[in-house]
Amino acid sequence: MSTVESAVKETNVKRRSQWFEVWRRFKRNKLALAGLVIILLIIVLALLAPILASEGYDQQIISDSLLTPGKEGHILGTDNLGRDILVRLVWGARYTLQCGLVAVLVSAIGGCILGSLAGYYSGKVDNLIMRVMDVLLAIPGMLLAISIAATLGPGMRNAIIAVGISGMPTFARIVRSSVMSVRDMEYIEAATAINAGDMRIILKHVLPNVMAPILVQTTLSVANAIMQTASLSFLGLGVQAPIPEWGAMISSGRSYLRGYGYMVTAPGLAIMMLVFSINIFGDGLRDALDPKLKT
Amino acid sequence: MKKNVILETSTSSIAQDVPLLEVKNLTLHYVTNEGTVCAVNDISLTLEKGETLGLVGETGAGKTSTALGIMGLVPNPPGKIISGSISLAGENLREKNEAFMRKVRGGRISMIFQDPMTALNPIDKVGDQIAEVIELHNKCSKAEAAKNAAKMLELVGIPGERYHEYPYQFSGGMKQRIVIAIALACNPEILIADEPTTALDVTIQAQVLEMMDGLKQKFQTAMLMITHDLGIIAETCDRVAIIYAGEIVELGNLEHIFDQTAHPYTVGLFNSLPSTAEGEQGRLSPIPGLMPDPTDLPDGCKFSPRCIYADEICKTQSRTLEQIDDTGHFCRCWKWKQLKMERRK
Amino acid sequence: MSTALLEVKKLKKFFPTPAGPLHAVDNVSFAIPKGETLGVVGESGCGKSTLGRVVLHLLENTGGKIFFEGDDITKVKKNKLRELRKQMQIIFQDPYASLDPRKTISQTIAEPLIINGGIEKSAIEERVLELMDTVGLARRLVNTYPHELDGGRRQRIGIARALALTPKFIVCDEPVSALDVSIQAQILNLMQDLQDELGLTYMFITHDLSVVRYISHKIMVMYLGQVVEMTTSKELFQNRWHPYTQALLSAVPQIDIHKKKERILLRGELTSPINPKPGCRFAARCPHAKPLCSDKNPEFIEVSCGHFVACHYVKEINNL
Repeated sequence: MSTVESAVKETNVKRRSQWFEVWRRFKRNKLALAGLVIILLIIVLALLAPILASEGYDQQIISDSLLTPGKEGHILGTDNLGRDILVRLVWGARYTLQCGLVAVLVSAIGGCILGSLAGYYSGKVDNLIMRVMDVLLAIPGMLLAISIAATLGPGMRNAIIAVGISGMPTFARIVRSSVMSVRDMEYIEAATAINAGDMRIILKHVLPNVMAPILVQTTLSVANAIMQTASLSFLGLGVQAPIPEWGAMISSGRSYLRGYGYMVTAPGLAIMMLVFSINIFGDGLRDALDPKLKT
Repeated sequence: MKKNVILETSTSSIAQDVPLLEVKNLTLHYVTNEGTVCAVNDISLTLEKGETLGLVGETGAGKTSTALGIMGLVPNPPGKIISGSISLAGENLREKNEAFMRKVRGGRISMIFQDPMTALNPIDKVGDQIAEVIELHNKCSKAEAAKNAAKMLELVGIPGERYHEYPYQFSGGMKQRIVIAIALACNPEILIADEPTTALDVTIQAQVLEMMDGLKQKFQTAMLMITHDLGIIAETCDRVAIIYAGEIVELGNLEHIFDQTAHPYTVGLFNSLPSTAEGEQGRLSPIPGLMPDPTDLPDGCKFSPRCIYADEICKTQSRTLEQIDDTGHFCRCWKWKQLKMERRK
Repeated sequence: MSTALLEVKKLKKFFPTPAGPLHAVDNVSFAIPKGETLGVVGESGCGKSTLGRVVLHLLENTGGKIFFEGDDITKVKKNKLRELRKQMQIIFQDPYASLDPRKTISQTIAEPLIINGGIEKSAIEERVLELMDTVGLARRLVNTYPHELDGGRRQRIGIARALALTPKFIVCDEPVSALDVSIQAQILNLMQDLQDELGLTYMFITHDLSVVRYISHKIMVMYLGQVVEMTTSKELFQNRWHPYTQALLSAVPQIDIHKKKERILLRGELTSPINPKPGCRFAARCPHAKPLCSDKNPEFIEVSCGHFVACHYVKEINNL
């Protein structure tokens, strides 16, 4: 810290919780706030799907197929099987979000465990874990996901596992370096002096203090995971018909690109908006957490 | 004594009746989201050629902010000089532009900071870092600058052959010497030293202070010594200003401050110190409480919440810094005259 | 001997480095009687902080013996160590780094109680408040976070945490060095009061000579991992016999403006603690060094009653 910063910092001692401070800083970033609002809207949409689009995502009315947007009350048109695209989009939000979030949860939890062990114990444990992670990182993410999904077979569950595993090394690396920086702090030594066991130290002292980079990585990874599951679905390896996961919608629409492009642009734009919002939210979160990111 | 460095004529001849440095009513605030930090509140001080003025205070008192204000290094935002003037040999620095200030910094006023570990560029040779300053302030060739830099190294007690080494190859004490060499390379009129030896071991501190004293005598540099250590003040300074909550509460020469202490805060500081002097020591009498929050300063005398002698007038009205005798001893207290204060010897 | 709470004999701690073993603590012996304070003083690199941690088994020793209440605790099993830790605690130097920034005061102070059991869950809260009273922390601060408090208050939290398990012995690693002068005085008074009330034994590590004089009964001066002088606090400041101690004391800036003192300036810098050459480690900087000093390491001998010095020429230098 520069002498000026420390002069200012030491004199400010007001009563506030840390998360409140983070929220205050975050609020100031209007773009990030907008991102958060959009994400929340999409979540609400997903939750309210049974009410807003009660007819379900697979109501096929062949006579109404391939209607352009605006015709006969279908705001976004219908697909080749006569299903309303907007209805499928709203239902699809559920599956897209699910894939993204659960996959990241898999990456994050797996990465946290591996990264904490590697960072806290160092030595042989560290070597073993990180070399395995390095091997995974050497393979391009998409290729890795494809190979795992191809091995396990198609389906949403396997797609989530595939994307989850391919995202683990990134988390493991981040957690490992954060743990290593915190591990040598005096309060960790203090915990040892009062008889805290290793598990307790890692769970109660180390991890809470490395939450910031993990949180930021999580938000950014969600965007990536959504893209990857969409791509897997696009390739036919992920979600199977008739589930309207947005990537799958793009996939099934590609034969109709000429003349009925709206079948692809609607889900495409939806993915873009979701990913963009998550990215700017993650950026804002990282900036808001930054001043406290010292430990 | 041969001056090895050719100075560019940015120094005007100093008139005899104008102090070398005169700070008048300097007020500096930092505007932050948590409130306005009133770091420096109406500080006035003078510095004569060749004199050493000590600035004593605890963390957050405003000493570093004052120094940065003088150097024009206050980051804006969030810092803002609200009012006051800073005159170097009669010229008001606040009215000058950045180009002028760049010539002043390093050339006429130099500053050294507390932490020698981070003050040096780790990827530059130490000799080059000294030469850089010389080049910036003088019209001379690279070779000349390098030669003079080597001479500066010798002057601070480092063999000239170590010119080409990097900062990591030196210990803390030696790094601080290099920092001092950089600061004095262009023979500035004023050296501002902000806690220059706090990070050093006590035996190294003794070496560095001795060396600084020697250089000061040699070059007749005036010095502003910022520290919280009264022992260092006693050994290096001619006059002392005690700073509390952004204000000078007592000002005078060594006899005034050490023997005829007037302000309760200064007395409190002395009473808080254990000493290595021989003889029995009583229990320490620390000042109760903490320095006030600079975003929320108390009314009246800023020390009154912690002062055991404070009464109504102290809590509602603040006193200006007044001269309390005719030998240059100033104090900012309503009750200095009536009080008989116990001083732990 | 048998009244010593903590005794250490020829303790060693070496760190392996690519260039050879680093002699952080080399052949240190001392005993601290119950209820007293041993001040350990020295500059950076002397090994005082390492010594504190080795005594508490936060670092494992490389040689020598440690005795606590007469029992040999040099090598100790996990269960015994858990028991021992309740009796031997530590207060750290940096009030900013020694507290978990994500835990409130009450969580930090309660933690040793929760981990070590022996107290009802319902009683923990009361005990935390009691401890806060003992160290002078206002009860209303119980749910604040470290970053909301100043250095002095944070250090009080560290002290409360160390006291939670009612230890007998506390290693104080530069506990007031990072504090302002007026806060420092408050904390020193607190620590003395606690020692008187609770019968605590301290190992007080510091580089500040005036502080060590104020708080210690006995003082041990260290240089590059070895003890060079040890005696009572009063005696050390009246008669300092080792050249390093003399230089150290003369280097401290004095507040007395009328006393112009002869300052002993040491030449050069610290020599390396890695694979040190035989001979006195201070010889390279000592103003009295003679050929013997570079060949043979001086013995740590009792020069007068209770006053130990490690120097070949201690008698000649001081006209004893």
